[in-house]
Amino acid sequence: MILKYFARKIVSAQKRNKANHDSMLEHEEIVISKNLEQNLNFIRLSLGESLDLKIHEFAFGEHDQFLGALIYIDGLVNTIQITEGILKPITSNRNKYKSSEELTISEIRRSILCSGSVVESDVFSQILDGCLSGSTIMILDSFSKALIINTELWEKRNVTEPQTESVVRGPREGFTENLQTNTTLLRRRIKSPKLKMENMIIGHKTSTNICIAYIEGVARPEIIELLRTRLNSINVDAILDSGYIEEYIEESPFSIFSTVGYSEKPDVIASKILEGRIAIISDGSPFVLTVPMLFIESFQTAEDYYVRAFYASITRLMRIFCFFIAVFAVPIFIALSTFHQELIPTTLLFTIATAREGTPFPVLFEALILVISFEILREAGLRLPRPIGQAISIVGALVMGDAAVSAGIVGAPMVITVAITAVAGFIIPSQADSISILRIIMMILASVLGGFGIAIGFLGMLVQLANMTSFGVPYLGAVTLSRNQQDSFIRAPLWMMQERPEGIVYEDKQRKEVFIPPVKSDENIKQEGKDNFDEET
Amino acid sequence: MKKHNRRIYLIIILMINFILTGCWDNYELDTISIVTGLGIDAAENDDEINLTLQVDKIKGDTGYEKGDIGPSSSFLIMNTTDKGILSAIDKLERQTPRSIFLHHNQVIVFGKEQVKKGIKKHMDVFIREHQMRMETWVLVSDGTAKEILSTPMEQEENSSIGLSKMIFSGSRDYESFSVKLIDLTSRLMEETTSPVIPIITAKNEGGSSEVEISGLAILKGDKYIGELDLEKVRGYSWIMGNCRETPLDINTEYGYIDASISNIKLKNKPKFGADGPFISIDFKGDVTIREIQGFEGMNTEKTFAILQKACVEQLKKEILDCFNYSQDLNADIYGFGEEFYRRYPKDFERMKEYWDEIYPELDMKIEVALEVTDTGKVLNSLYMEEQSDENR
Amino acid sequence: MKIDNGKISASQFMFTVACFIQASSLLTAFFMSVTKQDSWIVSIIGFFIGMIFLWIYTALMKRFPNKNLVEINDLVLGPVIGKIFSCMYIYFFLTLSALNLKDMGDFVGMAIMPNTPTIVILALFMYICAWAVRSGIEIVTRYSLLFTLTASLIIIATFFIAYNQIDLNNFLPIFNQPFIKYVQGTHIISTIPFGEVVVFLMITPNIEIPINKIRKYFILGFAIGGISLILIVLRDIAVLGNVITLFTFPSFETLRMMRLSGTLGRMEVLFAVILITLMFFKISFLYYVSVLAISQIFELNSYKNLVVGVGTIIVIYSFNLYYSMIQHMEYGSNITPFQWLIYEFLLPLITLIVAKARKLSSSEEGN
Repeated sequence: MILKYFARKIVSAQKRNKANHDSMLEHEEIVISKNLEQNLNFIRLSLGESLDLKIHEFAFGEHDQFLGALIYIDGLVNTIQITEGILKPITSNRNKYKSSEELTISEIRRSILCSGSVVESDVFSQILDGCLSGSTIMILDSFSKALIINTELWEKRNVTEPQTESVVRGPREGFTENLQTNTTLLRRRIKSPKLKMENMIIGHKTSTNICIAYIEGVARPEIIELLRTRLNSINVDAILDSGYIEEYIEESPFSIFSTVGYSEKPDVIASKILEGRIAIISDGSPFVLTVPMLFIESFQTAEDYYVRAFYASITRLMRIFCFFIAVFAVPIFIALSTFHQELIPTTLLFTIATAREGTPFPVLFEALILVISFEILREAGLRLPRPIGQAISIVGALVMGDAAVSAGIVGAPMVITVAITAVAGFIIPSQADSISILRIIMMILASVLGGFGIAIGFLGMLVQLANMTSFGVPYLGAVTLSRNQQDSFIRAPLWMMQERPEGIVYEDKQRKEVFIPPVKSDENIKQEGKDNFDEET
Repeated sequence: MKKHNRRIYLIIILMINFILTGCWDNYELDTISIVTGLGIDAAENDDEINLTLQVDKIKGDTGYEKGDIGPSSSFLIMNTTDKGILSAIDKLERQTPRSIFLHHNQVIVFGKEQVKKGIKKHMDVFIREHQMRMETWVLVSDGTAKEILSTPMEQEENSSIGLSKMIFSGSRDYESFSVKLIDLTSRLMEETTSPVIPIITAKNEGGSSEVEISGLAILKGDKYIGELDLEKVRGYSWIMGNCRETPLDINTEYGYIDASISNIKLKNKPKFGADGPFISIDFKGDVTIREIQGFEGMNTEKTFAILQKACVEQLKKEILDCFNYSQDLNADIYGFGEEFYRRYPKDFERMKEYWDEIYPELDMKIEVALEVTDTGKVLNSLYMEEQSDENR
Repeated sequence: MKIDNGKISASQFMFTVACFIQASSLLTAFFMSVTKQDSWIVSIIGFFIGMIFLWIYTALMKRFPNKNLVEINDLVLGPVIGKIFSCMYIYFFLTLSALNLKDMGDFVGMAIMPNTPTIVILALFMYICAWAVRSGIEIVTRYSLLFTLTASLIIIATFFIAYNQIDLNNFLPIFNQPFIKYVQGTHIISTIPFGEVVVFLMITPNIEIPINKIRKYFILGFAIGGISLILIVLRDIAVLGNVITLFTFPSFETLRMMRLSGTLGRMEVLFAVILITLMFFKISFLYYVSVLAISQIFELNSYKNLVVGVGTIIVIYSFNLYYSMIQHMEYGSNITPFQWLIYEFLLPLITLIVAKARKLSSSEEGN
């Protein structure tokens, strides 16, 4: 059903445009001429008179009879390589090219020292694309083809620890904005020839390189095909970050929960690829997307797999519990104190009632004030420069909470509840957006219909979750009885997890051949040691 | 797309329609007065009752005032007279700015006069009304219920909570002191049993007033006919199987013993014997010695033998005392009738109408077996002699 | 012809059955007021009689593994009589949905929120159910495992918490009531909670298990649900004793009385929580089955357009069922079991006998 819907969309998208980016649209069939000046003028016209466009004319040959020009964009190219690898071999030996002989472009090509690719082309669209991507263009007078030489070198960030996902135990490498670095980091972890990386270019004006990575035989072909069609039908000007791609390919755009996962750590992505998912690496973004994503993945972190199973299970259960606290604690408090006062123990009720005396607003408004000011503080803490930011958020929170209570605007129990809610929400950063929205919806429902309102909201959330699919895989893969249970609410020890998650994997279901628990004890070794000892005495 | 939009709008409008029309059951905490105690007294008019409500007074406190928190009464008393309980509550609602919230009611106190007139007709409200919970404690006041509910307690801010805590801890000694509404209802439904309810007395001594539990009230049908004082309560509790670790103090000719009986295994069975029905009681327990006074010059063996015998005697005496007293009053406070019904339902059908005559003639055969097991840190007391060869 | 292409796995089916029966723990008052302290005996006997019903249903399911009830009726009894039977079933399903909905509305209205008009509670609840039904059978039954586990945990936990207040003497005297009461009690319990599993005949085509295993999973689910119900009955009798005949919701009162320690009491919120979730499950399932049956009789291509209409009908119907709780109790104890007996026992039995006589089964095409 989903496939049909998308097939319709794709056909109409394909009818609308066949080309993928601007340069192809405009300069489809224009070919270079044999006149160097004409070509240079055309290039100057297309790319404009920008400061970083460098055109270097040179002459070579025995009597400097051949004219040529190097065109590149400063900052994108490795200038040392241009001089050493391109100019030097051609212009140094004067006797190399005699005027009496006919020179072909392939001879020149062979003499260029370059480890990148060297491509012959006569189509301007290709030439301009190459120039803008960091290649050097060599156009020669009275030659019908030009050379596009790959000499990319630009400033890039070092591989550092990702700021959004820090671990106590585990690797600390994170992806950077450079596509090649990212693919390298993946390749270093998965050294199998079955790891396939397909390339695409999306975005008219940004021509962003997108790479799809998956393991052939483990990932489902239907999902790969679906992903390819969806990516191909993206018809947009700019892809600046993987977040753009996420919005274009996701299945339920109006749902609160996201169906496309992301991560900044290569080991996380590698493990997801090994389970049968597909990764989408986008140039210019350190966040790599994975599809399909299940609900339970928001509660899994990389560290779960590097620490021992028992502790990992406890922390995972705690995360799920904190999700519910973060969404439901404030609504439950509202519902209990306004609708179901009989459910609160008597002494606690007196405390809460004491705090409520003299506060002017109904409980819902108090809660809204506190929750919204918490969101404001959080956002402000992110935007302020780092030295001031931390201090202000701490001071702001404490002082505001304190002052609000002593001014009598809000009651102390409400402040504590909101504080617990807020802290619990930080445990699951990937769901932070959905938690905030859900919380407010539940608060409103609770203040109108009390416990029954919360029940309705909860059931509605359940139905919504059950309805969602991520690329054809049901979103709640862990709730029904299946193999998935071993990695959902608890994490089974690694030697117990024999099969990959159902629904995502195509063929290669067995992670390992045989169920071998770890070796129990070194009984045999002890025996041996004893014998030796006896022999010696 | 248009159709999609229309549908969404329709759904949203319908849902908002339901939500925005009002919050019907929404009571803010400062609009309810939390009732913690309810008292029913007899009014001059036979038809009417005098209702007392003890309401907790919530002091507005932002937590930053550092004044002295002296013993102040943090509750107020509301009082009115009307025919039925709920109509009296309605009357009171008109007198206060807040609506009355009964869900946290801790105790229900009946005045003695009212109990003499009968309580069954007022029990209906307690069972029927949703806000009355079945685990509320029921008490009878020696004077009026209003007295008890008005007496502040030293250690607790709210006296009803204090009362409920008192009953709870009192029930560690004799569980007979804890009578919940559901127990009372259950016993009132049984045709032959006389329910018992703890009695609370308020004492005014030199300025400070206290309340204390002073016995059990016996009701026949639903009217008050007598009461058990504290010694008889003990006799009652032995057979009801409610005792966990109960003290027993005896004055013998050699000295004074304070022991506690624990680990009680009680077999309490109604039986049919040669000359009619009788109750057979089989009591086994362990004696822990808490205090010995006297017993000069006696050794342990002799002391403990005397002790054990004394305890057995005392136990039998207490049980029989209480039983005879209940037979005099013709009140089956133990629920023996119900036990007969449970084990011999067909025979009981015949006996039911004559239970009033049968009960005073009922026989009780008691077998008590006690063992002295625990003597505390020492075996001998200071007065007693060491077991030496001469005295053997 | 399958209108809904959803698939249910075997274990999902088992837990759906269990969840369905556990949801009926609200209705225990019907037979508790009749058989008082012997209700547990009656429950056990009713459980076994329910198994007999089960045997009829699984026999039908085995014979026609990829046809649901409406189609079976058409096939076995011919177009005219088959449609008449199916219409009677539709009345049965609609009434069941409306009754359960009203029960839930009554419970919430009486115990939790007395001042809210019932229409608001029911309409909002039906919104969520309609959403679930519209999404298909998979969504409706997806949470069966979770709900069953939660309900079972709560039941077992309350059993232990109530340990202090259990008085085994409350079960005596045994077998002291006139025999007719036992018959009546058994009758009530075998039709009202246990016999309602006839609705599972409507989703036979969606279940993905080999034919010979249907019986095993159905019985397992039935057993889980039945044991939960019997445990609840036992617990209530033990705690409440002879007061049990007074209450309209005995389990609710039991849970009210329980205290974990000191101040941590008031467990009735647990009861309300499981009740609303389980009732959501049961009502959406019954709702789904009604919509499916109606759309099959009229041979529609898709049932989705009918969802809102049928939902509205159920909500309004639920207001017209009975005037007051008194009438509800009286009907429930005396009249309804006989009515349900027709739909749960008589009609399927007739269908089965005719099918056997005509030697029909779905594995052979045609007569």
